[in-house]
Amino acid sequence: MKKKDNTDALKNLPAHTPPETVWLAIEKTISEDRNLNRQLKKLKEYTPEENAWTSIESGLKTKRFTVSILYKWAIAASVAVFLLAGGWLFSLRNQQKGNLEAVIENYHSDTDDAFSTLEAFCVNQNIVCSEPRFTSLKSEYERLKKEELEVREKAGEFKSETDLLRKLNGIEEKKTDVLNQMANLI
Amino acid sequence: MKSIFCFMLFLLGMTGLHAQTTLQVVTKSIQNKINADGLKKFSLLAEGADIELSGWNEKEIKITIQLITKNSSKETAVEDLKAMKVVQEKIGNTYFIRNYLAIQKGDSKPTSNFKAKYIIYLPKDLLLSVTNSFGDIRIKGIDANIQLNTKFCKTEIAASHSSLDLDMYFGEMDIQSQLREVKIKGDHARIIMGVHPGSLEARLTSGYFYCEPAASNQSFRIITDKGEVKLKPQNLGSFGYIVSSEHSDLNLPENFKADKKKKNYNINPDKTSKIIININYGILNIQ
Repeated sequence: MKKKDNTDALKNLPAHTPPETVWLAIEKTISEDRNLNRQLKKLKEYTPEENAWTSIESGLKTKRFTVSILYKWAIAASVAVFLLAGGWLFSLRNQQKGNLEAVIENYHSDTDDAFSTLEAFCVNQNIVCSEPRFTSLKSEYERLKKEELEVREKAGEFKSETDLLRKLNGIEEKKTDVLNQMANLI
Repeated sequence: MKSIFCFMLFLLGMTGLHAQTTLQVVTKSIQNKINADGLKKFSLLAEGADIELSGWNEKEIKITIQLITKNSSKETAVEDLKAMKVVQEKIGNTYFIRNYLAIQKGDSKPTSNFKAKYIIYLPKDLLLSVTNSFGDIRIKGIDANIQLNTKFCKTEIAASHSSLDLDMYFGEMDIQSQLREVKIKGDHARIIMGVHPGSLEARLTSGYFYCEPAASNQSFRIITDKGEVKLKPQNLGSFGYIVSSEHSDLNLPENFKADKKKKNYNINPDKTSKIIININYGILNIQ
């Protein structure tokens, strides 16, 4: 609080400009000091060589240039690294997408023929085929077929072709197992 | 050829099956003994049959066949049983047996559930050929070549030292025998082989295959499309491994220095016994 009061007080002090005569008197005193003038005349005078200024100037320019080049290289390198990383990730993603598509295009389930064989058998043999156990297995087969279709539609969401393969193989194995169980009832 | 032919017919009204409706079971039994002198091959062509085949040291073939029909109506079951036929004949040095359905023109289609059961003893050095669908097959004690063609069958081979030529569509196969040369064509087949000292050539589509190759001078070649192959060699280091794959999941031993991105391997190239695997869209495990 006290410090603030002092600051305010200082701000409120009146300003004074000395009269022109004061400065003239000081100049007159210095010029009339013979001893001082004598000593000043004894001082040696030097003129730097022309190339000294050139050298200083070029030194300054080089320094500025060096800083500028490094800065540009750093930016260029960062951009290059960024682009390379992006490109690599893009190609990796593309390759993975290609692999998943290849699996879907080439992985065909062959269980439908077997299922048709069993259905054909049921045309004449309705004793076994109308049993609850048999109809339940038939429903399970249809469910697995739907599951396989869903996996195919969502193939792009799999992390790798290995995951996709394991899933498709798993479904194929389950379908095979269901068909074998149906056949065992016959 | 001296043969004894016995024919027995049993009509059994049984009520032991618990389904939605009570089924009547009718059975016809056939027994036969054949002198096997001069025979080289035994061939069985069956449908919907449960088959037990055992090799023995006798020089004759003993056959017991049961033909079975099941129906909610006993009369229908009896009538349908008449459509089940068995043919037995010797042609050259091969003995044939075949069961089939014979439907006369104008007859209505049988509605019963059909089953045949075979219990056969035959010389262990006789070549054996079996074709069957929708049934169980048990083979034991056979030392000659076995040819199997199965559809939707559960098959077991035990105590045999034969070679095997297998064509299998769906179904399961359990081999607990020290077989010699084995050739397999499997489609959605689940095949479990124990220790196998002989050679192996398998072409598989889908399904599951397990084998324990024994340390020997034999080679194994497996070509598979989809499905899973699992091998557990008795001595991992005694084989050379040539693996080529496309879009497959390879799970290999640590000392193979496997790399998930690597598709092809040639391990222990100096070994004469090779395990050669070509796998596409499948899963391979070597332990």
